Parts: sequence; C-alpha cells; structure tokens
Amino acid sequence: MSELAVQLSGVTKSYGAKRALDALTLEIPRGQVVGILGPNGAGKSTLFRILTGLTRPDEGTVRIFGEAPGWRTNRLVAYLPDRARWYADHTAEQALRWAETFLPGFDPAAARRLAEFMKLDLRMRAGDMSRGQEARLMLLLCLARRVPLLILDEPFTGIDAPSRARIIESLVTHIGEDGPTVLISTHELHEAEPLFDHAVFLVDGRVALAGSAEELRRKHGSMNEIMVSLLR
Amino acid sequence: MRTVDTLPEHRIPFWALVRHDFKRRRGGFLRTYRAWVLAYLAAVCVIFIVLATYVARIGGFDPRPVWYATFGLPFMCFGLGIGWTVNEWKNGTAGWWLTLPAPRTLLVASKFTAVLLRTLFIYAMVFLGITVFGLYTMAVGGHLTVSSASDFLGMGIQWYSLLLAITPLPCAFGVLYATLAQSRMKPVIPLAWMAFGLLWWLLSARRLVHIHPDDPAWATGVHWTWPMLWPLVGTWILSYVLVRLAAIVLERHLAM
Repeated sequence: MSELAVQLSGVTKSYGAKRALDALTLEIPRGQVVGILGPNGAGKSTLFRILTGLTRPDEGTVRIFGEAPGWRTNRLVAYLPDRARWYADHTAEQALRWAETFLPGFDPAAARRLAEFMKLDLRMRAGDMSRGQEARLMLLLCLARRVPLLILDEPFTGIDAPSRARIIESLVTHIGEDGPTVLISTHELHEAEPLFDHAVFLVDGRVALAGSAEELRRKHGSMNEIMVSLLR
Repeated sequence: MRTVDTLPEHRIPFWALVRHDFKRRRGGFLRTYRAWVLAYLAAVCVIFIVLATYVARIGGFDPRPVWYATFGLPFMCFGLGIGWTVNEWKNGTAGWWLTLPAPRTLLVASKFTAVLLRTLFIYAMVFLGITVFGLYTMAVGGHLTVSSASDFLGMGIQWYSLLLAITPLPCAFGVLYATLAQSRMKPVIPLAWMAFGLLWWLLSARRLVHIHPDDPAWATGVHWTWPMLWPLVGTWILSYVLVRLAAIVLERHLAM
C-alpha cells in the first residue's frame, strides 16, 4: 500500500485556452494537514476536482492511495466542494441521515457532537440557514467521516469572522483525533495558518513553492508574506 | 490512524438514492405561499366544475377526445428529466451528487427512475381527473350508462397504454440533454434536436403520431398485438442507451 496519500505526475488540465494545471507534479504523504494555497485561478479547485474524479486530466497520472481517482476512491475521500450548497429542503437532521445512508465512514454520533460544538440547530432547514450556518453543516458532514483523506475547498468563503473562528477551532480539535490526510485551500491565510503541517503554493497551475510549514515560515516568513512575495 | 484498509466496503442503496431524487425540492415555495396555492387550486376546481357542467348541458358532448389532451405528457416528462438533473447544478449540489462513491450509471439511472416514477404519478392524477370529468359530464348530460362509462374508460386505458409505452424515452432523453448541457459536449445539442426532428417527421409521414380529430374513438382502433411488443422493447433499450450515454458524459466530458 502506498505511503503517499496523493501523487500527481505531469498533470495538465486546460479549459479552452486557459491552462488550469500545467505539468503539475506533487506528492503528499499520509497524515499531513496540507494548505493548498495560491491566488484565484491558480488551479486549486481544478486539482481537487481531479482528485475526486469530477474532471479528468488532459495529461499525466494521478493516484490516491495508489489508485486512479474515480467513484471507487471517493469512498476514501470526504470532499467539501467549492461554492457548494446543501439541499434547501433538508433540515440538518435530515442531512445527517442522508450522510449516514450515502457517505461511507460517516459517524452520526461524531456529527451530533460537532453540531453541538458548532452551535448548529439540527431542526433548522438548510434553506433557512445563514451562509455561515450552512457552511458549518457541510463542513461537519465532511469532518464526521472516518475516512483517510479530507479535501476542503475554500471552507471559509462568505463566512463571517465568528463562524470562521468556530470552524477553525472544530478543524483543530477534530483533525487531531485520528490523523487523516487533509488538503485545505483557503484565502484566509492568517487564520488558517496554524492548521498546516505542509503548504503548497500554486501559481498558474504549477507548484511555485512547497515544504513543511515550519520550514517555510523560518525561511520566508508567514504564509501571507510568502503569498504576497510570490505574486509580486 | 485512519487507513484505507480499515474502511469497510460501502454500497450505495439504489432505492434510497431514487427516494432522494424523487423528493420535491421546492417545498419551501409551497409552504411560504400555501394560502395562494390553495386559492389557485380551489379556483381551478370551480372552473373545472363550471366548464364540465356547461359542456354537459349543451348536449351531444362526447368526452372521449378529452383523453387526447394528454398528448403533451411525454413532452412534460422530457422537461422533468432536464429540470431534475440541471437542478443539481442550479442548487449548487452537483459536487455532492457527483462525488458519491457510486458509478455514474447508478446516479443517472436513479435520476431516470425518479423522473419516470414522478411521471407515472402525474399520469395517474391526470387519468383520475379526466375520468371524473368524463363521468360527471355524462351524468349531467343524462347519458351515463355502464356501457358508455366502460367505453370511455376503455378508450382512456387504450390511449394511456400507448403513452406509457413511449414514456421512458423522453425521460431518458431529458436526463441526457441536461448532462450534455453541463458538459464539453454541449455543441452536440443542436444535433440531438435535428435527430429528434427527423424522427418526428418520419413518424408523422407514416401517420404514426397522427391523431384523427374526426374520430374520437381512434385510440380504441389500436389493438395491442405481439408484434407491437418490439417497439416497446426498443423503447426500453433505447432509453437504457441514453442513460448509459448520460453516464459516459458525466464521467468523461464534464465541463467542471
């Protein structure tokens, strides 16, 4: 069994004239929390969509725990899609039942603990929730899964500061429990920085900089400073 | 530590998926405007009764051609197939749907089955409505007999059997159409319309989709025979092909 959670070699993906990923080569070991960082259009969401089989690369090879991504490997992955919404007619309680039926490794007891921690009323309909409450619901559906890989695409987008703080607190608490590999893309670098063991900076579909978070900080300063210098 | 090996095999239950797809997703609208909805329903019922009474009293009204008003139902289920599939993108849930650990064929087949079941439910409601309308007008017109009622219902059943025989095809085509619209294969859509137009023209030229307005009992002239089973089987095979095509489009050609 592969010691790598994720492995990409020479992966290229274009949308018309726009090259989203450009011969991307990347290896992510198991059990790490990795920040996939970069400006808008750097290829972060495309990378995640390839890892979850939503789209296929034009060139190159991709492996998740040694297997090509697709519906079979999705049982190993808890994925929070970018700009996702939840079924408006579901209450949070119904969403938990949905997840229990359809998502492998979903732990309803853990989900209830998380809902309490995130102050989410399980009787509330997703359609009546604020953006922050809905984001918390979707995040807890991912965090309550006992799977080896979590992929969170912009989990803080459109969420106010108190909700963001609560989500990050949940992540810190939860991820520490039994060590899945976690890939997070975010623009909230300052707040999310303490989460990362590793960071990968993507610019124009390529790895501009990667390494352990501590080493990067020692060499280049905070994640935010690194981002600013890369875009200069 | 979570590992790949410790995770048990998981099989998505097909009928649970169908149940999820079958559920109405606009419950919020109905709940918010419940009073309006009830008022409109009441108005429709009143108009229905007034109209039925009026036409029945004129005399000489034959309710049998009313069955042909359901000619548009297969077109409606085509729209339903498109709407229910496209809604995953419109509602922002496509990412959840398409990353379920299930083959795309299963996901599409579930959508198709849900659309088909909803269509059957609508067909049944319309059948009930027309039955009530027909029997009521006959009763008011004073010519409700066992023979006239069984003639009217027999024609309805005959006509409905024709509709039901072709219904899977527009359902499957609707689902495929919606997946094409979300894919890099979108330019194929005009070709699909051309193929549909050609098929319609061929059927019309052979007078297979021609309803005889001068013969209200036209449908009763259609008798089910064993050779008619082949087009029926063909419809299901073609529907399966369209469902598989939709799955292939979702698997290989998504514009995401």
